[in-house]
Amino acid sequence: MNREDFPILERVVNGHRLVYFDNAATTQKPIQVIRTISEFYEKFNSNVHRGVHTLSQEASELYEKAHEVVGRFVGGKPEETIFTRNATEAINLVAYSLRPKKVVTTIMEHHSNFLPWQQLSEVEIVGLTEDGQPDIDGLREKAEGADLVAVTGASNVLGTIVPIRKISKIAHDAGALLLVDGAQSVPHLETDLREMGADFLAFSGHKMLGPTGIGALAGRKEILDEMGPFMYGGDMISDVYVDRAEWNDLPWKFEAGTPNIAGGIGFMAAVEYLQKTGMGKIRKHEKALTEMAYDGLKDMGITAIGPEPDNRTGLVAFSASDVSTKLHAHDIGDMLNEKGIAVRTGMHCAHPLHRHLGLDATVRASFYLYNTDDEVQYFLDSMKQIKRRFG
Amino acid sequence: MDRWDFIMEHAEHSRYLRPIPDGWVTGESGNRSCGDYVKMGVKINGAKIEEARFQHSGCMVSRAAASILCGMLEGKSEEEAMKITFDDLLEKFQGAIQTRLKCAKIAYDAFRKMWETA
Repeated sequence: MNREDFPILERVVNGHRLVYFDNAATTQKPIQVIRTISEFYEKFNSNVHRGVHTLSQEASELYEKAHEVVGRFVGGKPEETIFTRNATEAINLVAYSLRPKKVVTTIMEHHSNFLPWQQLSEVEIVGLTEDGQPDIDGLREKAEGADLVAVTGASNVLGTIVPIRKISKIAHDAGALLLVDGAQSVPHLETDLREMGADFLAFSGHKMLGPTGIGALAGRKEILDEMGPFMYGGDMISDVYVDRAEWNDLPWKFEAGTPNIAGGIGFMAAVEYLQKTGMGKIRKHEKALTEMAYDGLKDMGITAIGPEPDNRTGLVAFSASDVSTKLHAHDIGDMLNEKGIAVRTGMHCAHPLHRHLGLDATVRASFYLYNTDDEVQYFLDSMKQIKRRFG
Repeated sequence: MDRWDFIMEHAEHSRYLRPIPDGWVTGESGNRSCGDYVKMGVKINGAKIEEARFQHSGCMVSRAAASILCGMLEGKSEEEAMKITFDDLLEKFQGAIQTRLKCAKIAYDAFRKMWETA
């Protein structure tokens, strides 16, 4: 892994070299992505699909190529790859355009794959098994008569890698469509929309080395064609009359207004970086770091909530009460920050899950390809110090 | 002595951390996302605040802030107490909580709420 590609990792925070373990919230950007974005503004900046001039043609070509590269990364086609602001907007797009009446989701969802259904549909919630997996039998029961099953590909708190293929079969047997929130899975696990049997896959660029403000919804043409627009405005039409309008082809039908062009092109650069590194290699590296963190914490009496390292992505979240009866998660996050370690503390936009598990805020350390064994060791040593002093 | 010694000195074994009896002037604040909750209460005798207490669940910074505030309140008149600003509270921390202002604010908000209901 080329750590030197990430300039921000040179930063010193509170007198220590930054140890960035907040990757489930957002990831750092390699110089290749940063340069692609600045090069776009230096050489190609222009609106897309709007002009005959050279710059507009070049910007349009780059932006369209970005759809192709990002779509192919998850086994999709360019016309089935819609750029959105983030995974949240991608899920909201489905909620507002598809308008499913009955939706089945799980208790482990991020608010982005929970609130749209709670607010816009009749929702059934599937619980968890003891090892932090969705209760498959419960899901099978609840999927009867549902229009959509909406599940995460990987939990942002438990790290659970959800068995999507199994869930896809259950959803489709019940006549429901399947939406996968890939925000935490696509950046870390090799993903193929068709192979996993998803009808919709939502993911965010910034969680996979890309810029903020760009994400994607990958779907299936035959379903997307049947859905009405999400937003109205420029670029999403083929023709407009005083009393009616005709919609543009996919994916533009769902991209109203001037899009985040530089963001889309930066997203493409991020995907190319991940492909060059190799998703298999990234998974192997993260798994080793996660095992080290999981086991190291366990040795000092701190249990990472959720499954064993084999069935989880690169993160560990734990309750402050395992560390000290006095401290709150924020206190621990603050103490780690003093040592230059960035972790996330709180409920990680998953209040129903925390409540379900009877937990207050938790401390979450999440890893990515540029993190190292030495950093995990330093984190474990720091946790040991905190536990010794306040435990 | 580092900043945590300072924070823990106020947060742990605070003499103000006690159940607040009925009839006191109280104010509450919290943050659901972090699970913090602070209830502040004062007993007013004549023109003076005779005693201040707080109840708490959550982090050590909001707890230390509530404790320090109680110390600032006792012996003051209501008018004097109402004039205590958030900056006055932060001054007492001597720079120990620069990244945690939100946590201290929970205690300060509970303190401000006391005067809304008084």
